[in-house]
Amino acid sequence: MPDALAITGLSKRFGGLQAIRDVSMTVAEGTVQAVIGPNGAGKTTLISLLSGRLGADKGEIRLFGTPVHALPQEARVRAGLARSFQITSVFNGMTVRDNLLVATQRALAPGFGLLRDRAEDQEFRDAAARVAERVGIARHLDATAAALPHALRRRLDVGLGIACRPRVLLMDEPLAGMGHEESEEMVELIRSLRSDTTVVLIEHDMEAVFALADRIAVLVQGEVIAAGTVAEIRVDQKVKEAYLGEEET
Amino acid sequence: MSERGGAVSRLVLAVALLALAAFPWAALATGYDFYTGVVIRVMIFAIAASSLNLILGFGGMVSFGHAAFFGLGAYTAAIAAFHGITNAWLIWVLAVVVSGLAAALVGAMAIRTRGVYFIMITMAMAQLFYYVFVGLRYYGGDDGLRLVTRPGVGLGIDLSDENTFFLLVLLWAVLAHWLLARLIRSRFGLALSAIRENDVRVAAVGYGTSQYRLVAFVIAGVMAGIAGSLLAMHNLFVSPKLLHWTQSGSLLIMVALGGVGYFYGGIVGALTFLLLEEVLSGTFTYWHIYVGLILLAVVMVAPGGLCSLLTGRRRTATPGGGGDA
Amino acid sequence: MPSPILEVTGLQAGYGSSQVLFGIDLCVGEGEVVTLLGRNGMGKTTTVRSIIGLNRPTAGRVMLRGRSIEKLAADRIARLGVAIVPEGRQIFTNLSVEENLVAFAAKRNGRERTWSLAEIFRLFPRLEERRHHGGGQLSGGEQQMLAIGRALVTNPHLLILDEATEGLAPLVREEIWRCLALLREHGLTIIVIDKYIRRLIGFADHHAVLEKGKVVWRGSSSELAERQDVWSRYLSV
Repeated sequence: MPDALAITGLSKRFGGLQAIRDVSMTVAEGTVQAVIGPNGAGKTTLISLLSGRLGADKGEIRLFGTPVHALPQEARVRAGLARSFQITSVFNGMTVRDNLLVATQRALAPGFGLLRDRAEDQEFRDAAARVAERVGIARHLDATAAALPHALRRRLDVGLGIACRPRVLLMDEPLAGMGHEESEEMVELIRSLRSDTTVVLIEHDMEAVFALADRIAVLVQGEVIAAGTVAEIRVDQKVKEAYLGEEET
Repeated sequence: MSERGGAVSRLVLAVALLALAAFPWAALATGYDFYTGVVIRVMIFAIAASSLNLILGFGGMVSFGHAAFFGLGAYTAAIAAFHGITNAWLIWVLAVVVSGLAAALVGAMAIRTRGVYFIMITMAMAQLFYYVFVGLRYYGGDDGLRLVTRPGVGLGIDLSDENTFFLLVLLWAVLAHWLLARLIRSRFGLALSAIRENDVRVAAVGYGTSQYRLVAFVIAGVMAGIAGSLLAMHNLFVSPKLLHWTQSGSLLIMVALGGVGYFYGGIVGALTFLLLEEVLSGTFTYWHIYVGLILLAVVMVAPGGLCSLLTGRRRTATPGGGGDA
Repeated sequence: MPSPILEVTGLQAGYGSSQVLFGIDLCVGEGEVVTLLGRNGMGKTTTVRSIIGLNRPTAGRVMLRGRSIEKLAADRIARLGVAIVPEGRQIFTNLSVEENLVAFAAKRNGRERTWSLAEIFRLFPRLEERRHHGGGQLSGGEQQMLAIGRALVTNPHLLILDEATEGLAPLVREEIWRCLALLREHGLTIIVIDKYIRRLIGFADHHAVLEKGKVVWRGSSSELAERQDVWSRYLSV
């Protein structure tokens, strides 16, 4: 049974800066893999490399055994690799329903669909409504995305990721900008996603990470310095040094 | 909008179209038949402006070279007529092919760029076409090219009769806008709006945004080409000025004036702009100044265009409806 | 308690609809060195941005030497005597080292002790060697020194350093720490954001730990030194 996501030797350089250096990772199906790291570790670059927004210089990415590293972003999404964004990225001028419809109509129908009236595509609209239900914003289907409060916009962002019917969902700091209570609710939502998809979670909120993660990889200056279970990472000396600064002589 | 609301607006539309169809004879009867020609021009430019509105208002692409496709359509008709082709159907097929290919070419180059770069590439390519026609002395160059007769559609219909030609143009205008409405209401239309709203996110949910933009660009180019061919048939004259970037600018002004992103934006804008031109140039020598001042006033009072005053809300995805019903 | 240079009470702020700070309280006395600790994304930089006026707080107060500044524009706050050494240094690459230091020199605020160009060069001899080089030609460490010098020449009442040692080689970091200790000796009031916890304990007077936009622990250096649980819970993993 192939891993949901297998990353080998991924590297990316920007001019003089080696942003990602030889990163390897495997994620088992149905698990939550957390990626943590101090400032400037390269976590966002890593997500961009995985989603296809950036092309890697070297390395391989396999989704359930199929190589996707040479595919453009839209092809990776259709293969089952979707993401949510750290800074909420939704279609502000559209209703929640239309937001999700953009994603579900893509996931469920190939082709441009140039002349067929959308109102006839009940299947896609139902799928959109189901996603809204899933992320807890079904009450707001007719609200404009821009008018929603922050926490609900974050949920919509996650919803857009789920609407792609991903086999692996990359979540970039889903708890960003949330207070304590909202964070707890988001953690519950992510926990409930485990039955549908495999999650790669980038986060700074350690409580959330410990509550959700099956495995953790620690990224420092573009390299994975440690990987293991929650318990293993918590006692890892290298990880402590990465966060607290090295011991001086 | 409710079902009843939809039925009412459809009724209003039907009445308006019937009134418009009757216009030439009403004008003739009241001695204002000069304005038949004016309204023909308005309808032609409405098609062109609406085609620009598709890529600008719904797709978010600011093209400063749209007149190129308009002018190419016009020149296709004129050059075809020059070589003895008087079959309007054939001319329209040629106009579609020529403007479509040109739009595909320009689009392929411009589509991967954004913002200022997109504007500059579209403008540069349009100027390229302009200079080609200026240089083609065989087809008149700077002086332009005449059409000896108005091409015909056969079927026993005489297009040289102004009123009959009026109805033909009206038919094309209705067809073009019907197509536009279907596009906007389709999955493609929603995707295009999404690309305008947030092109990063739309790519992240699986759309190849370049392809969608290119398709929209070509459709708009073809629509503009048809409009151009109709203008050639109307004026029986074409000149390179039709492709100049200032003509593209006029089209942009029409769309902005009418309302970027509103379904009727192109129509309202073309009507307002050309009527202003018509009325003011009759009274003032330096009428351009007054057009400019009025445009400035509109922009300050209604930055969303005239349609925003009438409806108060921007239609992003569904024209003629408040949302997915 | 020395007279407060900076008093922050109930600060709330965010970006657009996203709220990042949920009520920050902070007090910095004259001549004190205070740190803001916490993992990234917890609100340290947002707190600093709110203090210096780049982010308008949605609630709360910021008092600089007894004067309310939370509604003032950033340049006014800077002229009132707050200087920042920002994350990423942000050197003006189109100016030379000397120009970077001279352009922002100011003798305002009626301070007796003022930082002149000569004194900056004494503090950072390497900058003097490179005085005519363009800002963009310097190494990371030199840029950091220049950023600190640039802040000092404005003769601030309060100096804020955001991740001043990030991405620097160990030896260069040492030099920065040495110079910060010197600044402290000169009586400068400083807020530091950094991760080198042991260094900070040796250098600062007291510390505030941020998590999810709130101060979850505060105390003196000696108190923090004994609280390895705080280190694990809020700073590390």
